[in-house]
Amino acid sequence: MSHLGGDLTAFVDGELDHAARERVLVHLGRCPACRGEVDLLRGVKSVLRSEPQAPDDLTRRILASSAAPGLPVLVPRPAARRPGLLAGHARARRTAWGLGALALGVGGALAVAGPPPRAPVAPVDPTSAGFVVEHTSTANEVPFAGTTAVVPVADPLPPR
Amino acid sequence: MRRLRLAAALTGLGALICAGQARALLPSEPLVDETLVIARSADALALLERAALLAQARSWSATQRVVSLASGAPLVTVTSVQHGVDGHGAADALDPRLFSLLATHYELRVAGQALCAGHRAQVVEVRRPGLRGVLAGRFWVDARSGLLLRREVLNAAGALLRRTDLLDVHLASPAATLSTTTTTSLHGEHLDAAGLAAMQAAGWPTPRALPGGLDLYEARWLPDEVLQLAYSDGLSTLSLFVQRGVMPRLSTGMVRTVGGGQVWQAAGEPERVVWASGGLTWTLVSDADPALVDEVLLALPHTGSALAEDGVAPRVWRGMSRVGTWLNPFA
Repeated sequence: MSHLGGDLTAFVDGELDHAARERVLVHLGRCPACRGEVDLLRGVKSVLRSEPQAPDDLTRRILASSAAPGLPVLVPRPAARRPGLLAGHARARRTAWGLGALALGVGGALAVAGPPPRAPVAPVDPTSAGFVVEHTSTANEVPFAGTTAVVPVADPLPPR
Repeated sequence: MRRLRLAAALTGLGALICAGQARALLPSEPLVDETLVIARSADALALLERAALLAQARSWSATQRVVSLASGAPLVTVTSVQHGVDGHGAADALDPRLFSLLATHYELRVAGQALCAGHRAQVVEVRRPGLRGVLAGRFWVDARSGLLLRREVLNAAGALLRRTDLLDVHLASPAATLSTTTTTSLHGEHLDAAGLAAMQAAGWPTPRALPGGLDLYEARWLPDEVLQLAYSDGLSTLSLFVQRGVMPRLSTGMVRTVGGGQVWQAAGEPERVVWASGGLTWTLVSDADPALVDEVLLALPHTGSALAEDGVAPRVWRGMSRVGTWLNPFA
């Protein structure tokens, strides 16, 4: 697991600002695990961008259209399959492959998701004492925070 | 504000007239007689309103002591307070607007006289409406100066929640003006009914009432685009501060779940609760009973997480989108 979370994918994509990029670079200088993850992400990105795979049926159609009339059509032979656990159950096999691909897709998407988009942040820190002062001023009461002295007592005054 | 005070004054005048009739009926009428209850409330309300007017009309200084039991452990706050006739009061402890709310939500009566910090005072009892009439608060009004010396607020079970005492009261001559050191002037702009309607039209929440009889009595538009809504039942007060935007991740305090969403609660008093919902950040500040504050919290919107958590579905979608951009040679 990366120590920098989604920042690594944002780093690979060049989406970090200067300060965040410097922080990632400093961390990468000390962390071989994160360097390896950056290499892996760069490799995946490079493969996806530079070597798109054409589907089999597209290859077959291209070969058929380019063949001369009267000559046999060259068709790539599929690799021989060894009978396995699910041999003879093509539907179950397809389902298993589909589920596997889905799991890989979800896992891969989670891995490269990156940091959440930045939402607009409240302009005033809601935890500051300013709201307490505004509240007590509105209610015409003395605030508990600020310059007043707050001291615990052992026994509250009994109601009369 | 003026309308509220005028209404309160008219209520007091009308009730004073009823009071004379009610006193004549006192020996023979049962205690549940509605006319008698109204008359008693009017007597008590007039006494409190007179105390508020006197506190505003005179210059005075005192030591204010607040004992609060809201968080379980008692807290005592001692402050030096001053009031000048020029209107620069540091802390008045009495707001005439709250008395009209008090009379709306509670039954008032003058219970008699008692000593309060060595002063002879008239005691006004505030009881919850209904046959049982559980005590909700008490006021001690100085028989000599007419000023309010003590105020107590009790919770729904009748236990003391907060007591405010005005000690060592010194009245200045009517012409004198006391200098103030800790002025609590209000910031921002007051919003009247039209202003509130405009805010509501612009998508801001403006509930006119909250559970527990808390009615909206003041609304302000504060700097940095913060909407403040102040509520009270006449005894306790509660403010909501609403801002656009998500609250920042908080590292202190306590996080708990309310109404399906997470809220952040600060330690200490007054009670402070912060949460985010619907693109807004809400901050609640209140001196009310914590059980009542929880009722209010449940009634307010809580959609989504207060800490802007990153869920699985958005992360998967974001990851898929990112892979999509990698596959796009024109990106």
